[in-house]
Order: sequence, then structure tokens, then C-alpha cells
Amino acid sequence: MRGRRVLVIEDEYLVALEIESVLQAAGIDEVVLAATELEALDEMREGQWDFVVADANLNGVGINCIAAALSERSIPFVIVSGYRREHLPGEVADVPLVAKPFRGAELVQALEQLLPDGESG
Amino acid sequence: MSAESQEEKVSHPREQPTVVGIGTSAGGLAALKTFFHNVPADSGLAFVVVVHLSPDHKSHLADLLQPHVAIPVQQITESTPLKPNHVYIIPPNANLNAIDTHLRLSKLEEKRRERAPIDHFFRTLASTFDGSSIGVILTGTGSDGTLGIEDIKAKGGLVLVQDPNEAEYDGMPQSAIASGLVDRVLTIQEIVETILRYDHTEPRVLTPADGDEAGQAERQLLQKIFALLRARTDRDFSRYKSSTILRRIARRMQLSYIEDIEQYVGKLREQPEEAHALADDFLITVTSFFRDPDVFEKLREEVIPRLFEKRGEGDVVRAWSVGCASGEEAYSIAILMLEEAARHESSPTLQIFASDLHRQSLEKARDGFYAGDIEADVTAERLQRFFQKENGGYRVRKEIRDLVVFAPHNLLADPPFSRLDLVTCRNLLIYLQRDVQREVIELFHYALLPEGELVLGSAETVDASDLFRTEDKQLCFYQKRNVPGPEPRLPVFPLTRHRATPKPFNGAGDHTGERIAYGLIHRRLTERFAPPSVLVGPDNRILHLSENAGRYLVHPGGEVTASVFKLVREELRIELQSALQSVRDKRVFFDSKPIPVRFNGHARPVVMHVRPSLDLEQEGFALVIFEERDPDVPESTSEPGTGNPVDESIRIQQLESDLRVAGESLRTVVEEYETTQEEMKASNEEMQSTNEELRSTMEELETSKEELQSINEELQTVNQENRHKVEELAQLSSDLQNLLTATGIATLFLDRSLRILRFTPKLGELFNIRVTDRGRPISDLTHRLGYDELCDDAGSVLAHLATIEREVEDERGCWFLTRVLPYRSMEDRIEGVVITFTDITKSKHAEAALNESQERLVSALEAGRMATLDSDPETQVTTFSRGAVDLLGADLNAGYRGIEGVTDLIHPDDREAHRVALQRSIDTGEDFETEFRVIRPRDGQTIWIAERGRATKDPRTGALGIKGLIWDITERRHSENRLLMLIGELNHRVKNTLATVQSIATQTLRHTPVPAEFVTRFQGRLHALANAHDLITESKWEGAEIGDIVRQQLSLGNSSERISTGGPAARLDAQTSLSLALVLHELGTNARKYGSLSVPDGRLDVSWTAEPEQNGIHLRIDWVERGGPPPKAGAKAGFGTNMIQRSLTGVGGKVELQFEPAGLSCHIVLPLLQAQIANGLEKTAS
Repeated sequence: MRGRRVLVIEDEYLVALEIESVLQAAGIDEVVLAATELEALDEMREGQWDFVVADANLNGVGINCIAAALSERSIPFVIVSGYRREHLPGEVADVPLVAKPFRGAELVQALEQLLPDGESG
Repeated sequence: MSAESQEEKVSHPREQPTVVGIGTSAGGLAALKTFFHNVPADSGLAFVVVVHLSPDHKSHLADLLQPHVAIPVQQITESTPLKPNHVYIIPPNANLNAIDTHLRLSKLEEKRRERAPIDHFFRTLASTFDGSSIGVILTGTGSDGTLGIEDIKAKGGLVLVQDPNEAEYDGMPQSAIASGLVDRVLTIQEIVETILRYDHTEPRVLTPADGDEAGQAERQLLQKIFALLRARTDRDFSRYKSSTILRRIARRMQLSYIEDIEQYVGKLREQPEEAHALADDFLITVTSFFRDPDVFEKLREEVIPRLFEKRGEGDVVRAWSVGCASGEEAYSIAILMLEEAARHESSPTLQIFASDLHRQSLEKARDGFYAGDIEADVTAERLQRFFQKENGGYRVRKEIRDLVVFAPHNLLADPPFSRLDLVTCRNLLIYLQRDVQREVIELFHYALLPEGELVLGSAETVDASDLFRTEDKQLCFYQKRNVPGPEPRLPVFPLTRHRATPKPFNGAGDHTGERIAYGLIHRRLTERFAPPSVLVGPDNRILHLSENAGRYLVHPGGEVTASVFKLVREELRIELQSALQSVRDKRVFFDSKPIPVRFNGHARPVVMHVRPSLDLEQEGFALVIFEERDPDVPESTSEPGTGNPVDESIRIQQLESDLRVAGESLRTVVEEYETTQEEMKASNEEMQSTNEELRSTMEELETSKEELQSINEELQTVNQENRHKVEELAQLSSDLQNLLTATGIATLFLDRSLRILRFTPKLGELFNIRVTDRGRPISDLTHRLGYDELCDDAGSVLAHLATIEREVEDERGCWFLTRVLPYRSMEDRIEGVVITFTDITKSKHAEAALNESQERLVSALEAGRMATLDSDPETQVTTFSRGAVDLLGADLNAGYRGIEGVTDLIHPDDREAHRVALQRSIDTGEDFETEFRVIRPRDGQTIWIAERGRATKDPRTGALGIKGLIWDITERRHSENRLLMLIGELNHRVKNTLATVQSIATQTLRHTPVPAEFVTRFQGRLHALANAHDLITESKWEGAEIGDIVRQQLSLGNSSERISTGGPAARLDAQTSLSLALVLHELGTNARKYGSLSVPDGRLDVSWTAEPEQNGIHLRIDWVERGGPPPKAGAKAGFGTNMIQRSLTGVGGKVELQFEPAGLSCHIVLPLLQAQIANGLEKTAS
């Protein structure tokens, strides 16, 4: 996981902080936090991201736009949400979901799954 | 009893004593005592007594009677010789077989008790006893004996009955008298006297054995008696057998105590009643129901079924009971025929004619009432079916009486009934002479249809085997051979009343007239006189000539004549005239003087002897004998005696002169006479032609009579049918009447001009109508109906023949269904109008109530946004209640067919689910419940409908049907969806909160090295979060008031005097509220620990304002600390500070911290939606 850049899109600062901690602990060099959809879209436009960890709901705004943008850029991502799968929009049906509250290892594992075969932490 | 008669009795000892049979019942002992008290010891009679007594009791009657009776009284229990001057008492249960020289009884045994022991006794007496018998009926109840006396009477016995006035009980006497067969009704005293006198009267009448001709004297007397009876009663018995007739006459004589027949003829002449009584006696026949059971058994088994073969409805079976007497035989045949008819589905019409001469008998027969116990002859079953029990007897039911036509009919004179299938003529032929019998048989042959059946009595046979085939010799059944009968059929017999006047002579071939041939008479007379002779009839016509009589007759010119006066030689004419005259008048013989007659120019003396017939029957006939004498022999009788010749010559001259004078006068007289004769002849010819005319008229009448008779018969049949129809109509009419009354439908019949024809009583309740209103126009009537169009409707129905129905209300509020129909006659013509008024008030009310309740139901359904649907599997009709219009968009008038009417309205995606639900309901038989969507046509909105109901399947066609209720569940569906969303949201928030808590725990732990402090820190932060949750939960997670959040997090109350808060009311959303609460908690914690609140004089001021910015309203919160130690700026930013600065970025907030020496101040800007600002800017200050 070293050298990877991860964008964490999470409106709740405390949760974002927790994700950051987990990712840093997993050895990810650069973790950037985005609290709103606007911030997130800006970050995506400006930076290069290996992964994205996204909340499904950003202060009442859905994930649809972000997901579309991610797909467009072919950035693999994981959804961290309190929502169950059935409450998520159909567009993200194939995206791995890590349910809140999460355990660190669970999130890391989900990310590792996104790596191309053979690559690992 | 006179000594003379005693002598007579002694001098004429009889083989048999006369038997006196006495029948009595209640009151009998006293009557018998009286009776025998009057009987002398030497009456010469044998008395046999039968009394109704209980058969089980030993009778002491003999012992009781004996002291009162001069002759021995004997109770008999076994065969006993019959002796005169004895009284025999027969116990009721004794088995009396016969009475001849003995009373023959078989041994007493437990035999069924004879219903009518007296009848049985009398019948036995009549049928088996040879001698003279007398039947006596004394006091008693019931009718026993009545049938028995008939038999005694028929055998020529005497029947006496106690006067009902005297009798203690008059039942038996009355019943016997009613039969009309009783000879005398007398007191007991008189009965005994009558019996004795009767018995001692011995008419001197030589009764020949049957078949033998009566003697000459008897025949003459009989002729007289017949002539008398003909005159008195119009009946002719001259062809009856003389033996029978004489026996009856002897009986009548005996009853009148007359022994000389001449004397009796005198009585007959003087007393017309006696003539009637005698005639009635001649006609007595014995009859009873099913007399000779064998004969009737054969009729029932063979003959009658044969008659019914090949006869169906519309055919007729005709029978004729000849000599029916009181009708028992005719009724018996009717019963058999009815029984046979009952065995056939369609039976022919039955006609039974019964005829007799005896008018009283016919009356009795027509009446059909039979006193006396006929139970012995008729089975109980037949009694039950064909008779009606009436006072003391049985009456033939009307059904049978109607079948039998009783008619007075003289077999020997009247034309017969014709086209008959069956003729019964039993025991009548025996009374007729043999040649008459033959004629009667020919008559029956004529009357019967081919193969018709003739039944005769047991002693009678058909001689004419060419006409009838013997079917049963024993029972005397004969069947008609279909051969032509002997010629002229009708009238077979001359009218008997004209028989006294001999018919004009019309040639030798006339056999229909006189039965006694002239030849016979002639021969008899010429036995004594050999010379040529001529038989002259009462009208002076020559009837018969002997061989040489022509010598004395000359046929004159002119018309051919048979008159003896015209034919006889002129010389003899005058002499013959006076001779015939005197012979007939004086009934003397006449011999003329020799009269010279010129034969071929030679005069020869001819003496005429004229002899009258002395036979009464041949009165007026005379024989004229011509005796030709030798002309040379001088008449010895005219030879004058010797005397003086001179005297003689003078005398001769004188005599010649006298003679001349006499001759002259005679010629004059003769001439006058001849003139008169001519005149007579002329008038005679006139008479004759008149007579001819009369005769032809008669013949015509005879023909007409026949025609009338057949027309009459036809009419009778038609009448019968009509009567039947009338009965049927009456029945039908009564049925209709009852129907009309029963239905209670007021009905009014109007004719073509709308006048009232008929109406039912019920109509009176609606119309002011009375029976007298018939014929009035309907428009005249007032009625209580609100139906002014009645007349117009009736007219319209008459014009267009279309039924009109209306529902009208009357004044009382009753409703009537009024139907106006055309009245169609049987010929399908319109004869008027029928108006019916049916009371439908109840159904009308029920209908209204039903409508109301229906309306209530529908309204309730509509109010509940519900509707019913009903798809009938059988009729395939689908109906909805009104609510379905709104719920399903159904069109109530569309006429949906079948279950598709329902399913087509369902959203296409839900139809399959609906179908499955229905199928399950059919499979399990349980109700189904399903929900489906419907796109409402009204607004295109998709709404949800629930349906509960039951599906059915037509077993025949397999078509489906539904009965169900539907209602709108769109609202429920929406709230359910919202709830689901809510639960998802809740889950999400809980999870988010848990994630937050997780983060607080790990971050706090990371930044707090000392465990004790970690607990304090973590608990503080968790409390802040929990308290913020309390606030937003109060508002159902819609957010919290800014003031509440501030006050809560600063825990005002402890050091409130040092903290001021204020700002307008503004509501923050839940997420923002939680984040802000945590930020304020960190700020407050820092203020208490390091800031202005850590010193006693430090102050904190929290205020907020709403400021409109370009992208919406922003809430600005200012946190200002003053009076505390200066903040340590530049110090490493800890977890708390990071939280303060970063927590609100997720909700678009901005935080600015300023570490000024006067104290820390923090400025927070939060975007705010317009609606989240409360009205006005409320300041809350502590």
C-alpha cells in the first residue's frame, strides 16, 4: 500500500479522521480528506488517486455524482456507509461496501481487494 | 172353517200340505203367539217359522210358543218330515238346504251366519218346494224377507204382510210393502183367516203341464180373459204360454176365493183393479243382483272383455236387458262393464237399455234403491264402490244409474233397440208360446250387431240354430251368426190393439196377420160337412174355397171382388144374406130351403147350410155349405099334407096371389136393398181407399218412428256427453272461482265496448262496484286508484292487443300492479279486455326498503372508499358498485363481461399475481386477499387497491367468477414506504453515530496518554453527543434550535452570571446540530480548563446572528472569551482544536479561531436555509 494516494470523502470529520488513521496505519502515504461533494470533485479533478473511500451520504447529498465521476476516471473505490446495500442507488451495486461502524482491517481488506492481482500491501 | 170345505179337503187329499213360511224378528214372539192362537188344530197347513235370534244361543222359542198353540211346535235341528198341522221352528244358523217332503237340514255347523235368514228361507222355499206356499212377514226391524218374497211370488205363491200399524216394529213389513209384491197387508187375525180361506179355495182350472196346449174350454176362457185385459190394460198376453197364464189365474182366483173360472171372468169384467192385478202378476219376474253367479262370472270373464276389445274412446258398447223388472240385472251388467272399463285406459261409452212392461218395476229400477239386504248377492267391495248406503238399504250410485236407460217396452209390439252388443233376456221366453219365441229370437238377431251375444235363462234355448251359434249350452250363451235374418224385420208384430179387427183379405201369402190359418179352420169345419163350402170372413169376404165351391160362384163384370154376395149365384144371394145375418147375430145354425139354381139352363135345387164359428177368437167367421139336391125328388119338407083339392086349389090361388104380392114386395125391398147396397159399396170403397191411405200413413209413421228412435238414441248419447261436459264445465268454473278467490287478485272482465262483463269479489275493494253494475261501461265507475288512464289503457289494449302493465297507488297508499290484457276467446278472437289488480304493496315497500338499505350500503362503501364487484360465473355478467368508478375507473354502464371485466382494469404488471390469487381461492375454497395497482383514468395516477373476496368456478362451463370488495390502500402503501425509508435512515444514522463514537474513542485514546483523563474526556464528548441527540430526537430528527444547543453544551446554571448567550431563533438540521454540539463542547471544555472560565472573573459571550449573503442566509456565531488568562497560541493543535476547526466543514460551515491576548474568540459561519429561521429575531439573554 505504500506510495498510494487515497482520497477519503466523508462529511463527518470524526469518521474521516478515523479512516485516515486506519489508512495511515496500513501504510498509505497520502490520505486526503474531502468533507463535501464540491471538495471531493475538486480533489478528483486536481489530484491523482489510487483509491477513493467514500461515504454514501454527504450531508444529505447522495453519492451519484461522485460515483459517476469516479467511474469516468476509472478510480476504484469503496463505500463506507451506515446504509445497507438495498438503500444504495443501483449504480453502485458492484462497489464494495464497508458498513459503519467498521473495523480497520475490514476497510483495508476491502481496499486490497481492489488491487490488481498479485499486488498487495 | 165350514164343514163343507172340510169334506172337500177330505175328498181331495193332496200330496203336499201347503207350507206357510213365517219370518219375523223384533216383537216376533208376541206376534207368533197371536198368530198361532188363531190357527185351528186341523188347518192342514205346515208352518215353518224363522226368527232372528242370536245363533249362539239355544233357542227356547218352541217351548215358549207351545202353550199357546194347539198343534205341535217343534224346534228342528236336523232333516224332519213335513207334516200338516205342525209348527217347525228353524234356528237362524240352521243350514236349510231344501224343502220337499222333508225340511232338509244339513248338520248344524259353525257356518258363517246367514245375513238374511228369512230371505234365504223364502228363496229355498220357492226354489225347492213343489207345492203351494205362502210367505208371511210379521213384525221386525230391517228389511230381511223382502228379497225372498219375490221368489215366492214368482213361483205363484201368496205373500201376506202384517199391517205396519199393528206391528210392534214396522221395518220388515214396510220394506216388504215397498217392494210392491205383497198381495195383502192385514192384521195377524186377518192373515190367519186369509191363509185358511186361500188354502181351502181350489180353483177349478185344469192347468196343463208346460208345453201342453190348454184344453178347448180353457182356451176359450183365456181368449175372453185376454180380450178383457187388452181392453183394461192395453197389454196382450195371448201369446204367453197358457200353462203359466193359467197357473197365475188360478192363484188370483184363489186369492179372491173364487173357484169357478167363469165367475172369475165376471169379476175381471166388473173390477178393473183385478184386471191390473192379474196383468201385473203375469209380468212378475224374479231377479236379483248377479242372479246365477255362473252366468255373470262368464259375462265378466269372457263376454264383456270381448266387447271391450278394439273399442276405444268414441265407440259405444250397448247392452239390452229385456224384461229387466226392478233393474237388478241391468245394474249388474253395468257394474261388470264399469269394472271392465276401469281396466282400460280409454274405454268406450257404455249404454245399457233395460226394458219391461211392468211400470211399477221400472219406477223402482229407475229409483235404484234396494230395500232388503242385497249384501248376500253383492260383494262388499262392489257395495262400497257402486252403492250408497241409505236408510235401510242401498242406492245404486248415480254414476251407474246414468248408464242405464229404463224404458217401458213391449217386446212383442214395439220396435226393438238396435246395434246391440249384448242382449240378456232371461226367464221371459218361457212365458211365451213356441212360435212367438222363434219370432223373439229373430228379433234379437235383428237387434244384435254381428257376433253380438245373447244370454237366455236357464230353461230357455234358441231353436233357430241358423241364426245363433250355441256358445255355452249350460249357461245359455248364444252368439249371433252374421246371416241375414228372415225377411220383413219391422214391424215384426202387428200392433196388438188392432188385432181384434181382422185385416182385409189380401191374398193367401198374408202370414203376418192371423196366426191361425184359415185352412185349419176350414178343415175342421168340413170334417163334419163334406159338400162344397166357402169360408166367409166377418166382412163377408170369401176367405177360402173348398174344391168344388166354384160351381156356386159367378164372377160378375167390373172390379174384382171377394165379396160373397157379389160372387154367389144370384138365386142364392138373398137367402145367403139373411142366413149370414141371422147366424152371426144369433149364433145358430141355418139351413135354407132348397133354392132352384140354374146351372147351364137346368134348374137344380140347392140347400145352403151356414155355420158360424163358435170360437171367440174366430168370431164372425162362417162356413157356407152348398148342398145340391136331385131336382126330381120332391121336397119332402115342402110336401103339403093330404086335404081337399078344391080348397087346396083356392088356397093355392090365394097363396099364389099372396106369394106374388110378397114376391113383388120382396123385389121392391130387394131392389131398395140393392140400391142401398150400391151406396154402401160406394162408401165402403171410399172407406177402403181411406183405409189404404191410413195404412200407408201408418207405414210412414212407422218408418218415422224408427228414425225418431235412432235419433233419440243419438240424442241420448249426445245428451250424455253434454251432461258430462256441463259437469266438467261446472267443475272448471268452480276451480276458477276458487283460484280467483285464492289468489286474491282483483280481476275485471270487459267486453269489446268496455262494458263490465264479470269481476271478482276482490275488485269491490278498489271499485265502487256491485253485481248490478254488470253491463255498465267502465267509465261510469269510480275507483280509489290513482289510475286515470284506465279507460284509455283498456281502449289501447283492445286496439293494439299489447299488454299494458302499470304500478298504481290507491288512496290508502297500497300499490297495485295493474295488467291490462286482451281477452282471447277459445276461437282466438278478441272478445274484450281483462284487467287484473295485484296487490304489490308489500313487495313495493320491501323494494323501497331494499333500495334504501342498498343505498346506505353503497354510501357507506363510498364513504369508506370501497366498492363491491361481482362477476357471475354463470351469466358472465360483471357488475360494480358505484365506488368502483373512482377506484378502478370502471364504467358502470359498460356492461363488462366475465372476469376479464375486472382483470382488464388492473395494472398489467399485477394481473398475473391477481390471477394466481384467484386460482388459489378456487383450489382451497378460501377467500383471497390481494393488492394491485390501477392507473386511474381520471388523473393517470397509479393508486393501490386491495381486494378481498371469493372466487368461484361454474362447474359446467368452467368460467370463473368473483364476489369481492375493493378499497383504496394508496395512503397505506405510501406510509409503509416512508416507514421503510425511515427505518433505513434510522439504521444509517445509528451506524453513523456509532462510527462517530468509534472515532471519538480512538482519537481520544490516541491523544490522551493518561487513562484517567481518557475516561473523563471520552465521557464528556459522549455526553455532548448524547445530549445533542436528545435535542434532535425531541424534534423527530429534524434538527434543533441553536439557542438550545448552545445552552445545553455550556451547561448554564453553574456559572451563568459569567456567560451570556443571545441570538435569534434559528433551527439547525440534525447533522449540523450534532457537529455544532461537539464543537461547542470542545470550546467549552477548553474555556473551563484553560480559558476565561478557568478564572473567577473571566467571562464568555456567545451570540449569533442571521445574515443574508449572496448564496442564502448564513448564521454567524461568535464565541468570545474575556477576562481569562491569555490563550497559548502556537501551541500544538490537539485533537480538540482540530475537531473545532474541521468538524463543521462537512456541513459547509467555516470556523475561525483567534487567540487574542484579551481572550480566545471563535467565529463560526453556517449556511442556513430560509425556512430554518424563526419569525423575528428573538433575543434570549440570561
